[in-house]
Amino acid sequence: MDMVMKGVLALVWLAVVPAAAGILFTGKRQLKFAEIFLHGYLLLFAMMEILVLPMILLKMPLHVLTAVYGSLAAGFAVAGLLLWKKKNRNKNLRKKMERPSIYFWMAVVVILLQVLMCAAMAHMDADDCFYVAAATTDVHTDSIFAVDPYTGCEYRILPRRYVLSPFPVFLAVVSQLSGGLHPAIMAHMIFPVIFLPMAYMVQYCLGEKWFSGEKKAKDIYLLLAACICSFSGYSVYNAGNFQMVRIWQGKAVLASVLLPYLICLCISMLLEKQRKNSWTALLLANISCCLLSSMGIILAPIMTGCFLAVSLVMRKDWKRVGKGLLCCLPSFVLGIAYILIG
Amino acid sequence: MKEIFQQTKIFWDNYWGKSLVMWLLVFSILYLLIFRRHKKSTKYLIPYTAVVLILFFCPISAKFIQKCIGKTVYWRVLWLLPAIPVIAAAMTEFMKERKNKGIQFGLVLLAIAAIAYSGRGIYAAGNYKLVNNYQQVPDEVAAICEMVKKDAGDSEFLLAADNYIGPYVRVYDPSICMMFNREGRGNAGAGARRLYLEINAPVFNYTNIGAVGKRILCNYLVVKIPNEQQKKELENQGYQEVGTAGNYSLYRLGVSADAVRSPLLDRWEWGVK
Repeated sequence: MDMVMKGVLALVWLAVVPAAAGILFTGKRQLKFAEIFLHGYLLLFAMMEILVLPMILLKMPLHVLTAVYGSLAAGFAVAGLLLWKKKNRNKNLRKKMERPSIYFWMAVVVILLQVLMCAAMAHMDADDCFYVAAATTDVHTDSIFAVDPYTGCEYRILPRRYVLSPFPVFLAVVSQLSGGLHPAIMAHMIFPVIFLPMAYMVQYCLGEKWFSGEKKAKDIYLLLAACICSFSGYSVYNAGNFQMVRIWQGKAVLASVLLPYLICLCISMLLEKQRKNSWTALLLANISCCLLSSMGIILAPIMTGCFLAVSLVMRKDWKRVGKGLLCCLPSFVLGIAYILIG
Repeated sequence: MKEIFQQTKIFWDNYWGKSLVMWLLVFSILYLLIFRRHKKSTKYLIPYTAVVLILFFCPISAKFIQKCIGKTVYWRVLWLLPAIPVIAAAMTEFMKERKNKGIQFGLVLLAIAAIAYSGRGIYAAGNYKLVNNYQQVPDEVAAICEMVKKDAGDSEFLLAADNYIGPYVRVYDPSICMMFNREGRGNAGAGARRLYLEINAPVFNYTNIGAVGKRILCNYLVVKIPNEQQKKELENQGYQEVGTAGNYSLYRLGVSADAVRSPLLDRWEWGVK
């Protein structure tokens, strides 16, 4: 299939489908596009984690997972679009848009430059020999974590560190759904176009929290957040560096997108007087962190736990704490499995 | 306990490198605490930041977390620290109320300059380079993969390469089976391990590389381009040059890819379609 066609398909599966699926979360509240998009990804990542784990154990082929994931994701997207149509039937969609300040456009330029640099230029990261090669291997062999990406021989035992966090399988599946686009091209050229803006959507949501109703302040915040990431070359360990040089790897998406968004959700659910999100979002965020990296299995409940501690002091609401703990349950189960098999 | 704390301190120092970003974070926290005590960002972010820092530095919690995620990657706990939101929020708080647009714009530029001075440009750190393949692997890797596939045709074979080429071979072409990968991972026993050490030695001994490769029946070797004498050493072991790509040469054992067959290819199931 033509390369352009594959690119368009990739954008459909990575941009249109999550945005449409995220509409299912809107409920009665009017969510911003960034929140809808991020919620869509929470749903898709969590669904992938739930689908992949049993399929690995049952040694099912990749094409079955691709078909099941594709059908469910498309189903959610269609349901989301129908819901959107129903909700907006009698509404005038031409809302008066707030005029963005110069700082917003400066932020957009910085973010676009970052995307261009990440997508058009190559960063050599030897970790790709697992994270990307696992996807190319799965596509080549039509299997899920059955073949060692290091050599190409069949696994005699499953890779304990990675099996609970199969983000490379997500890469393999979306590559297949995108007309068989090479997973390395998907990872290195398409993922940055999606995940870098996603990282800033999270910052936008955080800016919305700090500076609600202050348009210019929100724009300055976004610009400064983008600049901090642009100058995060001071060490190879910090989250900004992971975001800027290897955003296609699960742990980078965890550090730059999911963990900051978990901060946003935890503040909404555990600290603010009026809860502005659903507990489902917090639950899905915890499961999504498990998909991205084995670190996510441990770090997501630690973060939620820290917020629970603050919430207990600040709000003294045991009900919230109990519900928050329940949202961490999947992470606890996978965490115990990770420690036991690791 | 003291040892754990010292190790944690090293992780902390490495995380910030030689930058001033840590101080930017400290000043931001102080600014929010002193001048913006009642703002949402202060009320929500600062207590959480304090809990994360206590958790990170406390030897008991550090020991527990290290047991869960591993000692060497303990620094990843610092991903929980909301450094970007705290710094950006504090700076924005400082600038947002300036009535004069010109002064505000100047302050924003100053803040960006402070960020640039405190950190290090991601491009300047040498993270990116241009390559001529869509897969974005080193061009030598792409050329070697094309070369070896053309030379081997439909034969099954094993390839060995150093730590620069090896990690990207199966990223580019997963149909190529490797003796070992990055840092010798996935190696099939003592012979493969020995070849890994020889092919990554600080000073190459091409006789040793050829001899070990021949002993374990490795069909293809990717080595740094040898001089005439070194070429002869490889040829004496039965390896023939197939071609070159950048600084690397591709060598084949025997006259064709199926001239020899490693028992490894029969002992294991290989994920070859």
